[in-house]
Amino acid sequence: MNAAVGYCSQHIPPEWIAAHGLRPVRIVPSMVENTPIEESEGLCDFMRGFFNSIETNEVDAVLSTTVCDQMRRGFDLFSSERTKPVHLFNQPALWKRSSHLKLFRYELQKLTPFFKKLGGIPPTNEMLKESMLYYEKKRIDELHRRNKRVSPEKHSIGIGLIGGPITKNEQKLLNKIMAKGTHILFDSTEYSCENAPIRYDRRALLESAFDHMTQQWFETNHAIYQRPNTKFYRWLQKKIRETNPRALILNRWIWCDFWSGETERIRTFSPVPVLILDSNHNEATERNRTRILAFLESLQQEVSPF
Amino acid sequence: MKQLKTLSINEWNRQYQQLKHAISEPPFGGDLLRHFSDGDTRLQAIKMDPSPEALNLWNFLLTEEGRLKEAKNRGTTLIGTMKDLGTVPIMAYSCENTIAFYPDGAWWIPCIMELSAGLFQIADAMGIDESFCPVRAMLGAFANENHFPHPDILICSTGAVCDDFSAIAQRLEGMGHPIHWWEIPRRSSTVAPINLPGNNKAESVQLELVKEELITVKEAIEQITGEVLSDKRLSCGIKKANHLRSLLADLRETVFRADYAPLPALELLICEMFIIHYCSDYNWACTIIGDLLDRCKKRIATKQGYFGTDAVKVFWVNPVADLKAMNILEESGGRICGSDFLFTHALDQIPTDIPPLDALSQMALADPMVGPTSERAQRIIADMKRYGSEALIISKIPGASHCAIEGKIIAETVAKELNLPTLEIEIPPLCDSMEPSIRTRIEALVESVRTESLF
Repeated sequence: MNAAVGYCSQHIPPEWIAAHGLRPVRIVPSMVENTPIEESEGLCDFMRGFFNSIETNEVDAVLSTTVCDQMRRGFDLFSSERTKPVHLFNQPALWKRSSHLKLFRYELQKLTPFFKKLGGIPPTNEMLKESMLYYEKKRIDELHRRNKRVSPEKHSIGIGLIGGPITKNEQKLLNKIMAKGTHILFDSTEYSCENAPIRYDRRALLESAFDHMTQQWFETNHAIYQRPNTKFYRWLQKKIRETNPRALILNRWIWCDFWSGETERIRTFSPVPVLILDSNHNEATERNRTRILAFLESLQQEVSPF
Repeated sequence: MKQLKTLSINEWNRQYQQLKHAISEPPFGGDLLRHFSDGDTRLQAIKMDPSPEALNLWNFLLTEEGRLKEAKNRGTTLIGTMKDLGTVPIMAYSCENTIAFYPDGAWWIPCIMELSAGLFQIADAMGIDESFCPVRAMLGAFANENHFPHPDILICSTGAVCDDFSAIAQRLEGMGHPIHWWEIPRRSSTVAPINLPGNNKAESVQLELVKEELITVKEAIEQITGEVLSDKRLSCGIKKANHLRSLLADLRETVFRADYAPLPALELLICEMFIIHYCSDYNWACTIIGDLLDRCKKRIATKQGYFGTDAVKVFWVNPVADLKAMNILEESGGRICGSDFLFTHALDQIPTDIPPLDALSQMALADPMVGPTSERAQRIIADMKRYGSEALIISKIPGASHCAIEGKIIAETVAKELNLPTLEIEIPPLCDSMEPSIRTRIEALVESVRTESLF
């Protein structure tokens, strides 16, 4: 079987991994093992969960990114005790100048030698194009599935989801809660397919699939860690205007400086109430369930006082 | 050896009354007690070197805000440079009538003013709470405008920098302070590596990117100052930086290698901090470090110094949020022999045989914070061997994103390769409440080294 490459970033195109004949596996940590990165004050549980669950995930290699200090330092620790090949993808924080796109492109190209060591083959334009179209369809299907699943009932409350990645446990919790009179209008948490390019330009694919993929993934990125983070706010404003949510839920991981730093600003920016969920693997779910239910209850009372 | 004794601020004031007619003082000179009266109350808790050169050092440090305000009033261009710790100021000081300073330096205000400035409360109110590192004080300083004049431009590096700083700088921009951002990528050396100062390597593509970024910084500085930053000017700026770096290198070597410490750790820490932006005045920074170097050499020649030969030689990692921690180390039987205060790239000589922007790109990428922690650990090990350090102390900066993991990696690497004791301690901006615990832990470290040396 082809080698599986585990990754977590929303900014690494899975189609690029797959075009090399490898299997992209997005690692969604569901629990925190305590090795190799032990619990300690200041450590993000998501980062720990990602690196610590690599052993239990059936992946042959790992792709991490430089988006935050936690992931960079986690990589440092993990790579010193590694049992599997690891690669650190240098994700630019800036986005306005052509040099930043050039860096992103260079980092994608740098993946090819890493993939070759795992048995991957540098893709032709045709191979990459097919891979891109396959993943494009996959993402569109996912969006359709979600929209179908959450078709609103009368008085159902529309929610916008933003923030850091949502793990399996929290996804289950959200699904349960959302089934009861609420629906998600948009989701830009870090695992969401809404952060990836939706439709590729067919003509551009024929010219150079790699160039088009690079451009699209770079431009679509509106992550909170970008500097300045104006793209995130523009995106959020557009989504709020288009979908008219009753509230936002912001999922932030404890010790995540990027989301914590912007929380107050998001509250001020948002025309609707914002619920902040503080996530860590071990304690948050129950507390978050209560907080979500109380929040939704207060919103429902606003809809119907009876 | 003639044992020297550090002075409290009151002792210094009594000495100053006797000294003042016999010494020639710089324009920022005067007694230290005035800074205490102005709100720098932490001075009462620390002990200082008794030399006139140290007096100048303290006065130079504690008058920086005032000197910046005077410069602004004179029409000097002020460049607020953030995070890169040493690179952009070299470009700024290549211009005439321009001063670069680090608003990041506000992280010491809560310590120096013993929290009386209320900067953390302002940051708290903006949602930047104690889960962030003390550099959050910078937000408060910008908001209340009581500490430094508003710079004409803000320039901040981002990318492989600490998340706390990046998040706080972003909030600053959100407050209406535009920032010229430039990218510093995480240093990597897997493809076509090029040697950097400090024995690191970076990929040629990364160097190209940083150079392109620094060109945008250069253009921004040119626009604000109305001056052209030619290669010739930048080369002069690099030459000036290298001169001060060689003075500081000489001072460090002199202090670290001496049998008895000729200068306390606190004064040496402040000298090291000067290197990143010259404490807003290049000429005086050179004079002060040069004078302290002369003083140290005289002390060594006349066998004067602090502590006995049994003081344990400690390598210190990361700057301390509370200056008093340096005193505590020495009172517990240690002395500093080697340091990495997060800007070792600003200690190395900048290459002069390549175009200036290439040299500055190399310097920026040599930053220990942008590379793998293992590379930082290797430099620490090399320096510990060089200075004969007997133990390692890593001071954690409260809330700092990089401190949660890097200390463990550095401590484990040092313990494995050098078989020396290590200690990781958190130093908050005011460490009084934790002082007994910090003191006990350092004493235990010192004790373990002394016990080991008996066998």
